[in-house]
Amino acid sequence: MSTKHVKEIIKELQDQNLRSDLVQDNKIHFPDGNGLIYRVRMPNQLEMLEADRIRNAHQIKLINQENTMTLYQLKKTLKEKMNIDIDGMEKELLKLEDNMQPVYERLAKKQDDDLEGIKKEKDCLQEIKDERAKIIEEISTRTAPSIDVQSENYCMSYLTSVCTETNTKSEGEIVWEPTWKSFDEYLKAEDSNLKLYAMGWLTTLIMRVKQ
Amino acid sequence: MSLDEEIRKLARSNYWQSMYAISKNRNIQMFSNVHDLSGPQITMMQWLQIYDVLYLELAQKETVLLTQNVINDNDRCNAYLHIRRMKQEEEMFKLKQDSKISKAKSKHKFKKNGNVNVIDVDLGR
Repeated sequence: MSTKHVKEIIKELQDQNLRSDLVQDNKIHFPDGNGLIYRVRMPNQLEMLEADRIRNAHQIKLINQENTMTLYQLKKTLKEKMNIDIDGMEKELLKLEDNMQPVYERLAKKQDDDLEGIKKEKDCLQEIKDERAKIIEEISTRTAPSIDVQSENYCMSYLTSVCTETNTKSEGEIVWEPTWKSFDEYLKAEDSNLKLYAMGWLTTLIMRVKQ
Repeated sequence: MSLDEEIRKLARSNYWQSMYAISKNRNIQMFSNVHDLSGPQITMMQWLQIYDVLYLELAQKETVLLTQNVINDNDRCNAYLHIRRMKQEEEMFKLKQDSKISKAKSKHKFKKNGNVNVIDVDLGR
């Protein structure tokens, strides 16, 4: 699956209107485009523990493989060989955040009828946000091959495999069944939009909870 | 519309603000689940609380900078919250300074050779 395609799906996920039912319970429902409805649910404590174990095991496996690098090593190599400074980019993100403060101060003082002034400041904010988004994407792309990011993704794949359920109607009753019977089945299954959507929504569901 | 924008839209809606008020006053749960709140639910709770405070300030007409249009516009609302936080920090700093000065202003007494000496320190401002 091409990177462009993945980005389009992520954008679509972000643009999709959020309904009240997204916060009414701790599950997120989503369609697959073929008439089937899926949902992702919050992992339980046991599943979280297992996810940690799977992440650690995968990390050790990658460390023992050739041509793998930790995030620290990758950052160092990128800086030395390609002059790409990830830490510098992270500092730049903080600097851009600081640059938003004076804009906020000006914007807060604008009256409702000063449409032009409000637009000017909002455009200024948008410019900074766009710049930040570019840097975040660059950091994300550059650090993706690291052991740290790969093992985190592997862990999320495990959680996606256990927390995604399919809506199957049985005699008028709504029944939710696991979409994949096991993590192995998930891994063997063809890469699909369903996998990406499910992982995207699961990340949304557990964001801030893991922090 | 991003997830955060949609949650904020929900949080400032009449329906969810009413739900929040009822749940606060009568201890009624807002969501189907009580435990294991999801990320969007945690974000929603934070924004419900923020908009609750802002609507109260709007009703009390505490400042001319806060209007319904400001509440409805995320950028303007963030800007208002930013200067509000700065003002609060300034007030906290001033309070701490005042407390330090009033402590230093108090009369310090100490004994030397059996006599009581009084030093009146006035740092002023």
